[in-house]
This record gives sequence, C-alpha cells and structure tokens, in this order.
Amino acid sequence: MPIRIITFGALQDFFEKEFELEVPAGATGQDVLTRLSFQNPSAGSILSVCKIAIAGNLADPKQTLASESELFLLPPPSGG
Amino acid sequence: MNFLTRRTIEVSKILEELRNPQAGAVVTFQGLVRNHNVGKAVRFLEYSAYEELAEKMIAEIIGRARTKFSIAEGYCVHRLGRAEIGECVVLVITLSAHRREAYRANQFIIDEVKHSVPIWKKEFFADGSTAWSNCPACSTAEELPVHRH
Repeated sequence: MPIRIITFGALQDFFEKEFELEVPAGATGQDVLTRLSFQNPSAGSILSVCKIAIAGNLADPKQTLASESELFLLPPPSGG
Repeated sequence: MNFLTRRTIEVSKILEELRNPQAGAVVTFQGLVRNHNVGKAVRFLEYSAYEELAEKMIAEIIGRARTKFSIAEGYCVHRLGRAEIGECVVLVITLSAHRREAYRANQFIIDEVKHSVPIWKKEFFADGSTAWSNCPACSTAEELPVHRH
C-alpha cells in the first residue's frame, strides 16, 4: 500500500522533503524508520531517534499505518 | 494566536500589549542569534518547523505553565526562516503578581519549547559550511563539531 513520507530538519540532507513509499499492509511507523535506515545507513543515527506524527499529532511508532497515510518524520528538535 | 512567525519579533510592542494591572512582575527571555558557535563564525541561521504540530505544542506548553504556576499571562513566539546576527528568534514573556512565579514559568516554557517542539535550526557559517543543530548524525562523528552530511 502507498504512504507518503514528509521529512524535516537534518533528514532532508538524506531524503526528499516528501516522497511516496510502498509498504506492506500492516506496516508500522517503526517499520518505515527501519526500512529507511536500511536504504540509507548514513541517516540511521537520526532515524533511530526520530519521532513520528500523523495528521498533526505525535503517533506511537508501533501504530499500524493506513493506506495513503502521511507520515511526518521528526528529528530531535533544535529550536531556540 | 500564532506562536510562529517569519517576521521580526517586535519585543517592545509585544511587551506593551501584554501589560496587565494584576502583574507586578514581568520576566522576558529573548533568544538571539549570536555570531559564533562551536568555535566558528556564524553568518545567519534558518529555522524550519512542522508548523501544524509546533503551534499546537506551544499552546499546550503555555497552558501547562498556567496550570503549574500562578501567572497572569504567558506568551511565546518563535521565529521561522532566515534570522540575522543579533535578531530575536524566540521570545518568552511571563507576568505574575510576584517575581518568583514569573521566573519559574518563563524557564519552564523556554525549556519545554527547546526540548519538545518540532522546530529545527540550521547554522550557516562564515567558512561556507552548514550544520543542523542537535543533529545525531553529526554528534556521532569523531571530530566534533565538524558537520559531515
């Protein structure tokens, strides 16, 4: 099933700001983070500490994704 | 209320707008762009955010500050986009009857904003290099603080 990934901060040095990803039905946010780490090991240290958000709210990485979900990947913040 | 802005943060104007006759204490924290970091000259900063969530989270942090501390008012605004040396990039103002609660609430708000709100800072150095602040990919590098992306 297709999902949409939106990246922020340092992740944009490794991935497009937005892109589509095909994942198996039943995939979780954590599965996506693991897969992206495998695809791009240089981004692994960031992905391992990313939070994820769905529909404007922080989400549990173990949550099963719906088809066409928008998954926001949030590296550790550095505001201020 | 918007807690994020791409415009200059007008501190004096905001302070005037927040004036409250119940408050005998006003604590103001300003985060400014300094001209150096990690031993390198900084030219400017750029801030980006997951705006939808950041707005909600700052509102929630101010709400918690109101519950936790006895304040008459709590305010926070954070800059997005390019910010030049000396510009204010984050402003926290707290008002209370007495100073102790205003100080405590102010520190609570800025700590929570820095710790949890999805805002990211990118530094642009005079030598042409750039770095994402608080970036795990850089902090695992052997020769800190060189940015290795």
